[in-house]
Amino acid sequence: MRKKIDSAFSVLIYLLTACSIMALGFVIYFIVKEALPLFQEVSLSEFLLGKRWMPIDYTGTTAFGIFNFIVATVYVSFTAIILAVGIGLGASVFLSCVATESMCGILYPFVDLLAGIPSVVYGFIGLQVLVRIFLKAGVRTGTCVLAAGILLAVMLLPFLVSSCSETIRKEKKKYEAAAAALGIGRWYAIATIILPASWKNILLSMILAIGRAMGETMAVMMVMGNANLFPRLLGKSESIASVIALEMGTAEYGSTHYHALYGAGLVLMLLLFIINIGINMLRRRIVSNQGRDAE
Amino acid sequence: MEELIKLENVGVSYDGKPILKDVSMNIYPNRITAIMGPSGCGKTTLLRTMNGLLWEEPGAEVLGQLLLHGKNIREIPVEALRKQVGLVFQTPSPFPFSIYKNMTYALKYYGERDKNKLQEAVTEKLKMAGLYEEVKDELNKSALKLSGGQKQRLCIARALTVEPEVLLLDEPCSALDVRSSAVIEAMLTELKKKYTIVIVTHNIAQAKRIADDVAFVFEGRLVEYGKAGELFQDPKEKETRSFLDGIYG
Amino acid sequence: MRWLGNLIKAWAYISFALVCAVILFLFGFVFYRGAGTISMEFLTEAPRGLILGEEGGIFPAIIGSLMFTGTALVLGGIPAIATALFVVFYCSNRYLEEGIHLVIQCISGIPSIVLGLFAYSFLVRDLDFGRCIFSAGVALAIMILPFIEVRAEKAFREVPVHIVQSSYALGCSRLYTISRIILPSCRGELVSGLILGGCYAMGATAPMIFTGAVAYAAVPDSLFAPAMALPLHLYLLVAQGATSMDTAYGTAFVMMAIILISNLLATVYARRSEKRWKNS
Repeated sequence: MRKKIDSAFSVLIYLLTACSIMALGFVIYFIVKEALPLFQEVSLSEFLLGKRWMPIDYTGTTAFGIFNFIVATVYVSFTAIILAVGIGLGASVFLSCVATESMCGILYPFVDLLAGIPSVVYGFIGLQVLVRIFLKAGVRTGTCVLAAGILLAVMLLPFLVSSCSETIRKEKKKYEAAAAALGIGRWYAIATIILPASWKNILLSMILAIGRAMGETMAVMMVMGNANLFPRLLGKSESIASVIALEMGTAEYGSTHYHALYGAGLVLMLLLFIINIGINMLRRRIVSNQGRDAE
Repeated sequence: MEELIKLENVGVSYDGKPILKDVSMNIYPNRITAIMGPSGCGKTTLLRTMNGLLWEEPGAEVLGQLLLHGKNIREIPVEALRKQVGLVFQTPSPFPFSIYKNMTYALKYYGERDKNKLQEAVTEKLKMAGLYEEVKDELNKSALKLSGGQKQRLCIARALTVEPEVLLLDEPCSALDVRSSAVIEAMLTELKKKYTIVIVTHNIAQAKRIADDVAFVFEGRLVEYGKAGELFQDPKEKETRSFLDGIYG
Repeated sequence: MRWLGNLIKAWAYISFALVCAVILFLFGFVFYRGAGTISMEFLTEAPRGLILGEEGGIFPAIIGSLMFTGTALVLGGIPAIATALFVVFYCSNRYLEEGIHLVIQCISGIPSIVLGLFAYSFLVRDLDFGRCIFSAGVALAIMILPFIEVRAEKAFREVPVHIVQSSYALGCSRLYTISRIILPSCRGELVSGLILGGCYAMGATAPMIFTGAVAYAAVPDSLFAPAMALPLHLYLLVAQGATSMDTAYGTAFVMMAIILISNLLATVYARRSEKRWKNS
């Protein structure tokens, strides 16, 4: 009897694990399935490189070019990471080199609060605070790429801080004692030995963060203006995710517009897969290289 | 005397790398067999071939035959095998429960529900392990709060609750102080009257004190095997002699 | 060159102070502006008013969010923990293990809006469930699956190997070992992971916009009905402009309060697990 329960449980575990794995397959399948019909009407290059996005033909023909959206997504994510890295890296140095073990027990969860704030709340605060500031500063409606960049930067902070501080902590363990034995001041050692040793992993974390920024929907949607324009810092633009979110409601099921939105989703998903898998492969190569060097 | 466990040309490799090669030996009942050798020579691996834990490990490949009471241990259902052959690890590993719960853990698994029988078993095995007097008033205390030596004795008592025939111990005293080791050695010498003991140790003095039979393993091979008295007095192989003289660590 | 060290030190301190300032500002701003709107009525009544939501409360949205989150936790949390159990205790093939890690990583990389697209095509349309809590729940479940799986795996791996093997050595099955030793001792971290995962699901708007969350609905009576949700409600209030700002702040207040309390609970729970192995 007991044996039967044991095997039944094992089977359950196997099934549930299979479900988790198949989820990925299902998602990819359905996105591709709904996106493919698009390419019977619009060519791939037209889709990816076209600058006109006119899903409903008010005058003339419809067009489905997501070039501006792709560029805007990448542009705002880069802006975000550039803004975030200075403070994020500094804060991770603080957490890994200054904070004691018990302080970290409180500080890490504290910084993690940033990760818990929903995207829509960020967008809301962005509208109430950032956009007003930009309005006063003279930007036409206040909504712009820079505002979205700043918001995204704040949203990326917890991720950057936690992954960078982990990296720095590892390097610190390796070199701290040796540096101290040579009489080098602690902060000098951090500046000239530990930080430079971590730069590869920090760079990888940054690229992963860019990936996360690209997937953000609500916050960006609420403060970027949502106009199909080539992104400029103080101009309006629209990210891929925003297009999908805004237009799915009105796209007719089965229309080219509908398929185009899935196509855009597919592009976004592929971008993120490439970044995630690529970076993690690189990371593993760095770790194994370090292991070899240490032998 | 008929052997209890018979190893025939047993070899083990991890991910293709051979750890043990061609080991053939017997374990006789109601005796203490010590497996000795320098660090990393494969003695722990040899021990683990005897209770079936080894083929759960990823990448491990076991060659040759192991017989328990003449039966191939691969044909014995794993649960029955582990009931007959118990294993105590090097690091004392009490479960994060009370002492009492640690002792009844396996019994409850096998279906024993009678509170009296459970209590009896707990008392009996704790006495066998020489731990009863020290903890009899505190059976509900967390086992994690015991000292190292006490934890190890608890683990031995716990292994005894399933009434194994053979008890395998992997360097049980290496993490303990001298006094605890002495207590455990005395306990093992008592236990062999009822059980068969196989103990891995790198401590030559310990083996001299308690072993009846000794197997010397070096670099994955069984170099020499025989009665303790004879092996220590007059080792036949060069490596054995060097080990006993303290040349290998 | 000694000044370089001091410069870095100053940079570290200032950066961290800035981060703390931002966190305090974000919470403070919302709590300050939203406190005025919070009242028992607000929390327990349905939205009213000429322009929907400018008066009345957010009760249906709170219930809706709870149901979305609950569905996501059940549909996502259980497979996540099962996968973690599989990888740590059942899987003997290293390639399989790495493969599973790769898949989980890919899933974590799927943008939340794409999950919404998936759920729409599969559940809302193909399976004809329509817009409902279940459809959105599946999208949310996939979103939080990697998060919970990674935390669960980390917790399971912290159980010392010799403890697990001692249980096997007694002849006990994996199920017995898992249910008597592993799960109870990892309970803190598992609960903490589920709380944080739930929080994450509760705040996500994108997966539910066109799969289950709607602008106005009664308190849902089944999983296959659409429902209101806090994040979508906030967004719609904001989109409506100035008249609904008070309610918007109130809604944001409720959401931030939930985040704060959940994080606190999660940290406390996770701490409990940590101490378990420190004694031995």
